[in-house]
Amino acid sequence: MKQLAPVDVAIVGGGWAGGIVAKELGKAGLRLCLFERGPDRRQQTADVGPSLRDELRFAIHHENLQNLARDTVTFRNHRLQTALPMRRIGAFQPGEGVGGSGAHWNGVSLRWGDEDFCLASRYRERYGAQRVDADMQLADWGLRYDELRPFYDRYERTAGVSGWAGNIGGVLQPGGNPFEPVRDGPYPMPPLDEGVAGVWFAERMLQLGLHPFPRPTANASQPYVTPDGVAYRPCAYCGFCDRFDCGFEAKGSPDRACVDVAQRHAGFRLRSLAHVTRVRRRGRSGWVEGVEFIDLATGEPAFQPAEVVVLAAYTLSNVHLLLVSGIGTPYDPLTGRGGVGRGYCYQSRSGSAALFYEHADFRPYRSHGGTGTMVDDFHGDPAFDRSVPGFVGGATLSGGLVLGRPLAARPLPPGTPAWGPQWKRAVAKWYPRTMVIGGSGSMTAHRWNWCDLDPTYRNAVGQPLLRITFDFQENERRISRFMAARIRQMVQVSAPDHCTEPDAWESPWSIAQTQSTHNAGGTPMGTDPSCSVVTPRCQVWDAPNLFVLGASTFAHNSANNPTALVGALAYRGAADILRWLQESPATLLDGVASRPSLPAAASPD
Amino acid sequence: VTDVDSLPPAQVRLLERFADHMVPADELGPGGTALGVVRYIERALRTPWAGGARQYLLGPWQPGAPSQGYQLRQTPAALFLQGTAAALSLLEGRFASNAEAADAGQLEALLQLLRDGDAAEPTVPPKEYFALLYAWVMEGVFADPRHGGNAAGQGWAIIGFPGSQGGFRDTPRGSRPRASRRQP
Repeated sequence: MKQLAPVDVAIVGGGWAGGIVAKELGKAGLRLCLFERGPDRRQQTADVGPSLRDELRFAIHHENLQNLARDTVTFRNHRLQTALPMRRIGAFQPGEGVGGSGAHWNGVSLRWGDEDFCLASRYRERYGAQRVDADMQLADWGLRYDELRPFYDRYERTAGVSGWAGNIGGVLQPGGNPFEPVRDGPYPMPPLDEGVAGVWFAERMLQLGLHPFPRPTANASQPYVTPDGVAYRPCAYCGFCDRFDCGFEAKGSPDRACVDVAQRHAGFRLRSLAHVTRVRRRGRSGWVEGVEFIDLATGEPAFQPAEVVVLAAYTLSNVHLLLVSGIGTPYDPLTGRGGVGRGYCYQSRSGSAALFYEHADFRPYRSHGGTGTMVDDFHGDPAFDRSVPGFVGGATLSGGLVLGRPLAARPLPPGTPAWGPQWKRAVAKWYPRTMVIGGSGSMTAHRWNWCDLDPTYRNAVGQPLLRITFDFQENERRISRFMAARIRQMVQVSAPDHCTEPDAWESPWSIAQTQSTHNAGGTPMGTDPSCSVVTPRCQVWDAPNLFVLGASTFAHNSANNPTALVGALAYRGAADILRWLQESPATLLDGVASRPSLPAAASPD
Repeated sequence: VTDVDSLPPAQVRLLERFADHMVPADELGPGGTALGVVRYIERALRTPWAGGARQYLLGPWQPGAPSQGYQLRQTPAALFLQGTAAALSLLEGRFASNAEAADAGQLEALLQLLRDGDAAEPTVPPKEYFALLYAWVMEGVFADPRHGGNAAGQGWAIIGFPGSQGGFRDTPRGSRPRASRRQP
């Protein structure tokens, strides 16, 4: 295998996590290589404008998403089932290409706070030791919001987040989310327009005594320049965010906000179309010595030696790479021990309600990725009493227009035929007159939701696929029922002429139904090396020169979208990697004791 | 990719009949065929996606649970070609009709049969075929005109979608719900 000249840091994955680390370490003058298995579309994005907004190519044929012919996952709901491959994109949409999923996301950007990082202890303090489900794996993260605050700030200024602050320095701000973690200042930009449907929803929520606020999103509401000098233009309200590269330079995307910046530095090298297949260990020591990859242009394998390796691929790929590299202890659900593959989480949710109004025009095509209004009362509010609905966590609920891309959304009242003359009149009538209320629920790690390697199915390079065993457990079912009941109440005060019923989602969870790209866990962070993969500073317990960044390190999933936390952890991770390289400590940051069974890490063989 | 030059005339005719039955001409605009649905489908059959691009196509093949998603061996193009042939033989067999002579009632009954998965056809799963047929008819009406359907944007005009050429920042915001039957 060809061996390349060594670098200081090899970074796997060109999305938000990898992009931020590359940009920050590039500034420090390190020799870097960023590996991305997808193509580099930046020039195309800059050139072609309108043809980027092609719903068929990107939302139906998924040209910007992971090429499943090359690598996918298998899935089953429980361990007695045979897992089968995800043959097509369905529930979630992992991106591929420079920018990763951050190139095609909606931009919703919400901070996670101590309510999440201290979920286990907060719940115990308030409700005692009893759990909804004995197999729930609740653990604090070993991380506090105050440590992350400055890094959230840096992420928000890089991504260009527009929003209305709810809590600045402990002072509640009218119109913002009173339950958000305390901020040091306003968002980089004021919020975008919520649309008339969002405003209508906000007024109804006030009637219910709730606290609506415009959903913060990484779409520029005005001209804006990041601290690195990357310019955003104001959002055009074209409605083509999710699944699409932004053709207006308005959406915060790591390809422009980070990789462009990293390329200013001489020590930085981007390798797109380079599929990292393995992290190589240095003999049998805990250390790693670089990554093996395949150049997809030539098909040639090569080895990139590196002092430090950063796994910053998509959640599922991070887990897969550790498993196929034999790093860490695979999770075993029978004993509850081991970390790699543990705590795989997704998002609990219920059906949403479509609200039809005879006399309204919501202009559904005039939208951006975050258009809408949220309430955090059943998630961020520590005073919200979970003992009555009986769950851990909670859900955010949102209302606003139905995103008006013509293949995605043609809402119809119940009972409307799916074709024919009546269908045609109804689809024309209701397209501008429909809004939606829906939600996003949290999820706790659970003994029987995990990832390991599939015994049967293989990827294009012959490696076993990652196998996901997953279902909604009792906690998620309770959250779902609660969400459906709250949505019904919200529909009632919103007085539509027709509406659809929001059903709770019971098992089984389906990989075929489009939901969110909010996969989390699998390489969880924690303070106990026997049931986590990384330290609270994202350093692998078993391999001190290997850092894992991204939502795979989450110890559970919040109702809040993952990206702001991914960004904050990446900024902190970049600072940590620098500190670690400069201080050359024997093992782990913060004097955390390494796993006792390890051979002396300072003397790699 | 599949050889699609040979889509037989009788099947093309059936697709035209489906397109006009599902999307009839009326005061809101042309019917499915005039909108280009069949032209769209003929092009769709030749796209990389229809040939299975970016999809996982390795075995072993097992039916699986509905929650495990699409597990058929066929590429979308193969499923569509087999399904359309099967739909035509169903029309000719069970309904003793053909693509030219079928009346609206027969077309409706045939589509419902496919949708509900009741059609007995061992090699072609009717529900999966119907899902693809329905998707392609809708794409022929509402996808970007550059793909062969939605002639001159007349599909978008049905719902009032103004097109994807630019943004709508300066478009007026629309109007909130007005007093309706059920004011709270």
